[in-house]
Amino acid sequence: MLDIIAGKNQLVEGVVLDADGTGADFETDKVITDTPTQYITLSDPLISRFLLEEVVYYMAAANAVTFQLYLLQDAIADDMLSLQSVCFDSAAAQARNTIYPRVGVEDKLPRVVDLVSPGKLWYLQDWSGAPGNTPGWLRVRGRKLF
Amino acid sequence: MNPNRAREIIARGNQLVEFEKLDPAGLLAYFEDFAQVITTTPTLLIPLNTVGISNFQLNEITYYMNPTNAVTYRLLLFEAAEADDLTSLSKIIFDSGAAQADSTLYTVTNNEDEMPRLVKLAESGHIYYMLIWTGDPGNTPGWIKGRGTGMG
Repeated sequence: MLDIIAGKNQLVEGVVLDADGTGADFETDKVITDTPTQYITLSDPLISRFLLEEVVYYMAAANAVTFQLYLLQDAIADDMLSLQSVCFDSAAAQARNTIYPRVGVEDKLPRVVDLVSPGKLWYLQDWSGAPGNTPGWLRVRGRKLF
Repeated sequence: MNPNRAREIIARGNQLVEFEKLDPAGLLAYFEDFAQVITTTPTLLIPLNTVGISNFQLNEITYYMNPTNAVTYRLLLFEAAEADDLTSLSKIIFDSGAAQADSTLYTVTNNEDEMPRLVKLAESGHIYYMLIWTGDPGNTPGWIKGRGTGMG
């Protein structure tokens, strides 16, 4: 019982940081109905449930393109199930070289997340064109749930 | 989880975390450095009042600068002092935006101002700050203050 109460005040974090673009973490272009193939590893590898409170991201794409970022609870191929797994949607036309701190109700946060694979929060980027080499980062934070 | 650790985390949720940098007369020279650039390593820090805290929810920031000269500024807070350009940007936990006016009290508390934020300090008890001035501010009395609650 103490674990459950404490978890509500325990930070959960996941970061993907590619400072020079050599990690190729953000260059993959997909649409929302594709199966996500990349994920953020959370600070607690065993965690499945958490309250997602903030999403912060920045993409320094080499080319003049925009993007839409999705976070998904599962890597599912089927169109509708893939949509059902979305727990964050940035909306289209996110600009490069801009820090986006997403917090609070206007950004539809917090969200209750229930991961299918513990410790793995999938992400997917829909680029308006080929981004080229893309340094950037994507960070999520929240609190544990049981 | 160890029961003592669980109790500690629970208690932190109701613990005030505060940091403040106050220079009432400008004699301490906390805010006059106008050579700061956003992509460089931040060098100025504000200690938290609570020892041993690394994780907390930042709920509010207030700040006020009274520079001698007619300049504006941008205030940035960082959770770590990182050298690499992009990594340094990733550590920003508050960005006031440009053109903050002198002799104006700014209070930041709600969602439109991108609060609250969950903070994970690289160095326990240390928040870094940077002021990007449009020119030499001259002697600058002022303050930066933040408050929040602890997390495990």
